[in-house]
Amino acid sequence: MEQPIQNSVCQDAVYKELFFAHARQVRNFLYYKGADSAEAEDVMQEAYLRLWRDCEKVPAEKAKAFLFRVANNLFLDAKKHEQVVLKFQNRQVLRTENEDPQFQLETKELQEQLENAISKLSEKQRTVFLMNRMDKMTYAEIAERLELSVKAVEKRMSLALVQMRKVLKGV
Amino acid sequence: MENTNHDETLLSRWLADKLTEEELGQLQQREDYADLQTIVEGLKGFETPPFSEQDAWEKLQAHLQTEPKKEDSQSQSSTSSQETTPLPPHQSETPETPIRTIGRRNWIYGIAAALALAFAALIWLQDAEPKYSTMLATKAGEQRELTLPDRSDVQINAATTIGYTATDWPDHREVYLDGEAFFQAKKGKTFTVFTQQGTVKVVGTKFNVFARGNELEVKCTGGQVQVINPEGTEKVLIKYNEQVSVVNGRMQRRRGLEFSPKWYKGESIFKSVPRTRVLNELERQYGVTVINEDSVDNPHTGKFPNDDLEKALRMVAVPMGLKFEMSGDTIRFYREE
Repeated sequence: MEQPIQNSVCQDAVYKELFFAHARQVRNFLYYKGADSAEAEDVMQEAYLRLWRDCEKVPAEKAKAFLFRVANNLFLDAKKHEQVVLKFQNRQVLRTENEDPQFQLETKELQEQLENAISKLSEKQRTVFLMNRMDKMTYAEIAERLELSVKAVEKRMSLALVQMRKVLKGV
Repeated sequence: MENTNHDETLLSRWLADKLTEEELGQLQQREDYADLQTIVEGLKGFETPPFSEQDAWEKLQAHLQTEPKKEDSQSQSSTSSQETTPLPPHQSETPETPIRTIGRRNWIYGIAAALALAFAALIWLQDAEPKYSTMLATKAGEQRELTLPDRSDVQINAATTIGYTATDWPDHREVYLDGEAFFQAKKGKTFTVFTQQGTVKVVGTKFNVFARGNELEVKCTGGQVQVINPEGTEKVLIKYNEQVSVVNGRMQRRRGLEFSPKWYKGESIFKSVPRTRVLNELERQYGVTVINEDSVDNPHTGKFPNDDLEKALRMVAVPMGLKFEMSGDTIRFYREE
């Protein structure tokens, strides 16, 4: 039996592995792009449905990039230039053992400012930046999924950080 | 200027803990270092909305079960019809060990298997045609659509075999064809159609390839294609509204199409072709056997619908001056004395 068939996305095991390994990343990717939590999950589901429908046309090694690309396209079709306001639903106050109300207030303020700064990033920078910071994906992993060079990912990371500092400092 | 170039990836490498000690030392001297640290630390307080792989997977299963069967969802790379049905609702695996509990499928290795479906006969010809991993064969009376790996669309006429290798596509953009197909190549995409009777090189275009017996006919309805005879000694570039025929290795080019192919819109058209070609097409479109007891073989011009056998038979027999009678799937054409 040849390799291509063994690795076919049409195989239950391969398809299921792709789901459990990447569904969360695809969902979060959509969330970073500005979908709310429910939309992000719906679009992620649709991307996986399309992967199943097209399973014989998508080589296994391209499946991850396929999922992100389809998710991206579906989201763009649905959203059409809507202003993105990203809100993290579950903000946690850092170091909750610290009872100092002043400290807690500052932390809360900082997190609001950070949210604001993240929302002001370009979509490309924000997506890459949060995939790395939140999902702990390496630059190489992000590059593979978004079909970018590693260098391009690195540049977006640096630029995102510089940009966020500018917003925070009001520069 | 050199400094900014260097800076392009400095911060990203800092985030990935990839800086040399010297670089880190320099970065720590910078006035913005404390701010950068604050940002990175502050982000650690954020969480994405809760997500359960398990719940999402079950939801996906529900979607897959209600999915209407699409014609092209029947995988050509599978050897068992089970592979094309939605995954069964799954039971008790934990998200952390998604693969461990799944039973490995028993693949029927190396055996050519055919999936006889309502609309399609999909054949995995591993031994017969090892060069192409995906082979698709239509039966008589059946037309299908196919999307190539580069998203180009192909309409496939009845009694046609087509093949390609998806995994190999970027390096070997090859389509094998025995029969008839209409290609709509995506803009900027190139591939080569191999037939017994010659090859067709494609650069973003629409064209019909008829490759049966010793005959190859290519009609171009958009863009341009290059047609090469089997020996590679003759090459012809045809453009929009041109066609070329290769019969027994010899090329005949014609400016201006005799007609645009309409078979994928439900109509088979002929212009000055041998009667046998018309009768063969009847057999392919309706899955019938035609016996022609008449010996006259004047060139035939005409057409017939692909979805109404009675009408088609009349439209073929009357201009030929013949009668016909049907018994079962066999049609006898004869001349009334």
